[in-house]
Amino acid sequence: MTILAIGIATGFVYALVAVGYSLIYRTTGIVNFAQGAFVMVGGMATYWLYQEHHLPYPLAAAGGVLIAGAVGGVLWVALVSPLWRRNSPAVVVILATLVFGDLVANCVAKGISADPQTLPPWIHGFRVQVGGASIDGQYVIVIAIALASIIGVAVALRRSNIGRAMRACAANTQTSQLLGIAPRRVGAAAMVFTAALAGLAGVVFTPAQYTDYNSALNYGIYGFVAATIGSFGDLWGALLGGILLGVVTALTGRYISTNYELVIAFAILLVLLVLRPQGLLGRRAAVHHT
Amino acid sequence: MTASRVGGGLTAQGLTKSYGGVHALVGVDLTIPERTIVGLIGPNGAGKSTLLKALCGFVTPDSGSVTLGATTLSGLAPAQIARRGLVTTFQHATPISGLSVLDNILVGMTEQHAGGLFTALFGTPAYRASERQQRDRAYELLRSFGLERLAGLDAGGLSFGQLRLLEIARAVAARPRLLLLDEPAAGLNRVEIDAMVTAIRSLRDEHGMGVLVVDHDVPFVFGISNRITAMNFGRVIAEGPPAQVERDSAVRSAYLAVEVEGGNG
Amino acid sequence: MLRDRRRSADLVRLARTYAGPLAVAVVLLACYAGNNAFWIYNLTLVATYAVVVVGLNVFVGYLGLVTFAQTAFMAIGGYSLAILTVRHGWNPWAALLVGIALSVLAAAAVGVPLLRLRGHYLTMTTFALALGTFAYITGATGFTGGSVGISGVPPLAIGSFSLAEPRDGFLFCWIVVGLVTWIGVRLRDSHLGRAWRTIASREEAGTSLGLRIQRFKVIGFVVAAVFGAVGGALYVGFTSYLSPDLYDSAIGVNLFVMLFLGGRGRTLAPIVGAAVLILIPQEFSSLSDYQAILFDCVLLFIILLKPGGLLEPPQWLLRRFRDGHPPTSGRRADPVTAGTAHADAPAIGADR
Repeated sequence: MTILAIGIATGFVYALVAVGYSLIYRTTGIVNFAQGAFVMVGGMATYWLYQEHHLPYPLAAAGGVLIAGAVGGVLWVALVSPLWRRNSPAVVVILATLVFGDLVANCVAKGISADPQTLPPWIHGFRVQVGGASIDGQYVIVIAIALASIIGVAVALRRSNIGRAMRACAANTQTSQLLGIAPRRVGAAAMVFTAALAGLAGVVFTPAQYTDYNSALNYGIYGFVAATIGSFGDLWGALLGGILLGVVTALTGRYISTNYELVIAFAILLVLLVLRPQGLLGRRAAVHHT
Repeated sequence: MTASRVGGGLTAQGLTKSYGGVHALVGVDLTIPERTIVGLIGPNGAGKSTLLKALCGFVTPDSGSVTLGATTLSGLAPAQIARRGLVTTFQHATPISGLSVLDNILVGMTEQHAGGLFTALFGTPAYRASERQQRDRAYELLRSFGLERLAGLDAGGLSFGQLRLLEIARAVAARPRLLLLDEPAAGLNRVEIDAMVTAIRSLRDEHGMGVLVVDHDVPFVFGISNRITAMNFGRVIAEGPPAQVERDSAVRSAYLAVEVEGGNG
Repeated sequence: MLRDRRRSADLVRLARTYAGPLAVAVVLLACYAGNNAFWIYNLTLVATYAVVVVGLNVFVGYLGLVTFAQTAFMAIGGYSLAILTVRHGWNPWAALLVGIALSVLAAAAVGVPLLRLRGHYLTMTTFALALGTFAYITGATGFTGGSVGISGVPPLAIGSFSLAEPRDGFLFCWIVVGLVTWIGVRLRDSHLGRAWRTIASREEAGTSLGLRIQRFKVIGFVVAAVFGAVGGALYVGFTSYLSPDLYDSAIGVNLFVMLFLGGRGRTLAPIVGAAVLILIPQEFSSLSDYQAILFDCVLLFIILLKPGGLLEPPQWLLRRFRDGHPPTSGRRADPVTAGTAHADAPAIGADR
């Protein structure tokens, strides 16, 4: 039971990453493989501000989120935007974002720390009874914040101006331009926002477990699988996919072996893409016409 | 209107396709016999492109059937349909850059190549014979379209009109029994259109194909077609020889606006 | 007059095709003769990686698709050799063949479902495949020796000619590089290569012409896998040792750096890229701490500013070349020579 709860909480983190993938994909058509790095940056930057610069914890946390967003901005300005404008082949953009994520992880390892780090819990001594045992209350906080974020994103997409602009760009970039929406600005906003969102996930999850530079890759992959399970581009699908994946990997780690977590995730991806390429919610096809 | 099986030609019967509330195709029948050029006309939104996609397998109709001679094409994937003799060209020319013009033609012949991984690697006599044969045929094909001087050039560097002709030549290389041409005249100047007309006529006369031409240039379509099928709102509104269709009242009313622009071709 | 122009155009073409490989051969012969231990050793390592990158070049350069699975296939080649020879006393050649066979099977098994996927899905799943393989070989301590790895791998040998002997190993590995490069070029210039180019440039055109796109993708994937396995086995056979670190994601990125440094799609790219990536850091060993960061930056730099790689001549040189020797100098195009696929044009296109 405790494993289930932890799995769900982890799943929410994957879901936030997946939401990021989906949002950027819908607005720019790009798959940003650096997504997982933002989660890691959120946690590590907060640690850096808190432990090394002795900022008060809430300030450090806010700083962590902002720094994650800023890194997203750097990615946009330095890489994605120039390549996007040049209509670079997909191969190149994919590789660029992947390498950027790797670069960020390596910089963090060198610049901050290569060791796993953790943060103090948000509410001291907060524990929750689940099943027969008690687990760290931070997990509940993770779920609460992640859920609130996803709902917030959904509402913002529907109601706010920038949200509407994003949906317009997702539907048709050229028409949006004619309507006075600047796809580049929207893309930049999407990237900075999703980076900050992922950073938030990292900030809130680190106290529950830990974070280190390696986790960037893990979150990136799991987030992608979650987004695919949920039919790339769909918000609620991302949530569904994230939770499912979180639970499955947690169970695998506990009852089989942690080494096989990634293998299972890959197997799920493979099976899914072969049997139901449009994802569980059936919206987007991942497969070519032959 | 009953469509009868026409020898080796294409027969589409009762094709229907709806997207939500939009009826893109409603019980469309289409016949394209061998050695015939059929023109497909209709205003924007008439369902022409949906029909083309349904014939080629890019769209699965809700109901209806498509047969080419004795072969059923309904339900097959686009590449399978192409291998069974129905080849289409795209509205926007799709030259394969990085390959010469001649190589582009050879790509069209890929499925007819006798080679495999290892025969290609070792250059067996059989492989080299197949290559030579295909190259000769490709060169002849280029010559019949007037493109032979471009054979060695990178396909990406051709002019617009040349690309269009190359597109058709490459499709012919695949030995289709039926060729679908989507807007072949769009954007071409008078000289290029004349070359296009000659090329399309040779498809019918020398290669014995059935050809379906879809184009907005009504004089162009009427000029080369043996028969015309006119569509509007997803249905076939008229079918027959060009002169007859031209006088059809349903066609006239659908094209009232087009008639004014028709002179600009 | 026309004859002279034709002859000079042919000579230029000959020079362009053979100058590079000739230069490489000369450098290698010089090293072999010079017998400097440092160069012999490191250039052999370069060779083993070059073999893997030739495979990557086939899939990324010729087909225009992304795969991160090369490290997985390297692992198959390396571990087959190590486990069968050290644990079960097999003849190294037989173990190598098994490694190749396994890589073919794995590539086909994984490739058939995977290669139907669009760009980013394919990339991520190959990446997950590589990481999954890495996680497995690190964890399955009983079978693979875990993170400790396997040592004492016997070398491939024919009589007294043994991979463990530095000069013999050097010669053997570079012969293999020549072989796989030759295979790559033969395939590129064949009907297979034309189909691959279609996939890279306009896959929908291929579909509309009836090409069995999936089949050609799988063939490309399998070829890449085999070269990956051979390269992986050569490395292990040469150094007598392997550990999972040889196959982690950093290596996966490095393979791409090598390919992009040389210029994807170019014949000599694997050799140049591997040489630069392996030899240059030796000069700057003080920076080894920052190696990963440096490589990432180099790759991003190339992607942004010099996508053609180091082997691409600067634009001004290209233009002069073209003005001097037009492809068809007014004579009737010969169907035999006119159809030769691009000599060494990069497979990059703004068309995707």
